[in-house]
Amino acid sequence: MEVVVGVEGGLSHYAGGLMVEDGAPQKKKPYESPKISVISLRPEEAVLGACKNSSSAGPVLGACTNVGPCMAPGS
Amino acid sequence: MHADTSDAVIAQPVGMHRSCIRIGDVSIGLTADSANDVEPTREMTRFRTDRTDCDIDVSVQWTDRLQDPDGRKLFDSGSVWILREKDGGFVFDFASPAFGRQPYKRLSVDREFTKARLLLNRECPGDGRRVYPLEYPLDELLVTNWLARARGVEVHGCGLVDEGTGGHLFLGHSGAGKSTTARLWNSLRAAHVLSDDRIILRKHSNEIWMHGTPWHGEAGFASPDKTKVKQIFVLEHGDRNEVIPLPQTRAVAELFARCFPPFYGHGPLAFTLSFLHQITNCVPCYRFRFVPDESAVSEILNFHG
Repeated sequence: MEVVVGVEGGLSHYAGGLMVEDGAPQKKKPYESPKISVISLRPEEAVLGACKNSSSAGPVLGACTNVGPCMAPGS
Repeated sequence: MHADTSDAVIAQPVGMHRSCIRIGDVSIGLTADSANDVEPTREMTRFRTDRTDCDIDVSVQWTDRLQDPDGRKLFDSGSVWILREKDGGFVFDFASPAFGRQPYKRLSVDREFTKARLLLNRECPGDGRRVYPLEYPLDELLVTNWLARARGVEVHGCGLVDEGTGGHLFLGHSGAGKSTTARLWNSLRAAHVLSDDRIILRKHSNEIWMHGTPWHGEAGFASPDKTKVKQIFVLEHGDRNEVIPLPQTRAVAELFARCFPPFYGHGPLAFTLSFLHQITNCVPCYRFRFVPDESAVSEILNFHG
């Protein structure tokens, strides 16, 4: 599953020709064209649904029949 | 014991026995009528705390059976748990094919994740071993949801403290090399590994600190200790060792892909993104393509940003 990331580069908040972040004027940064990046997401891991046990070396997901402690939860 | 007739959250914990654990500076108190139901597992013993007032209070009760779930479904994990909204709070049902369709336990919790009631289903037989009520993934769900209420975030990573170079956080999906990294640093540098799989990040005095957790990986490292985060590395397998600075937006995205936010709620999700932004404001982030041998450790030791 892939997730579209927010824009990289572009302009930050400007005030009087200087970039202002956290209330403190800073030197002007060079402009970068906005671009969109795609990040790979592992949904089965992110939702705390995966585990490992003695019978599996990888994510077990919904087929898990081991109700004891997971050896290495979702690692 | 009568069948469960109400999933309403009890305002005050009931029971004669109580124990408390503390993970990532999040304290969870368990209260039950039986001492067996509050006794931490061996892995949790290191995280036990003496404090009596806890951030999250859970009262444990047994019931002969659990009613069919109701309430508005908010999220289905696709594995053992489903989340519903009911009576102003949340209800987590945990089910396994081993027990059929009905849940083997049900957690009812308030919206701020401070008070909860856990019902354990007597109709779901175990294998003779004692059942620990907070058994994974319930304990982690409680903590991640509590953190998402403007307190912190849990990430998929290996956190360690090197005596010479400080706290390093290595993030990675399953198979990226977190446990390998933990073993290398521990054997070559005697580094103190907080966890080889799950790390909690919190802000203390405008600094980002990482906390160990009991939810370890294959290498089995789990510590209740904490340290300030000096650098964050996103792990990737590589043909050679290479450290590449990450632009802030990219760093936020990479952290987001390796954390455990509550996807069902706009507020917690928005906070998580905001907190990740704060983290990348304070801590330099890099992509680390590495070779799984001692040269990976040398690469980091010799890297000075």
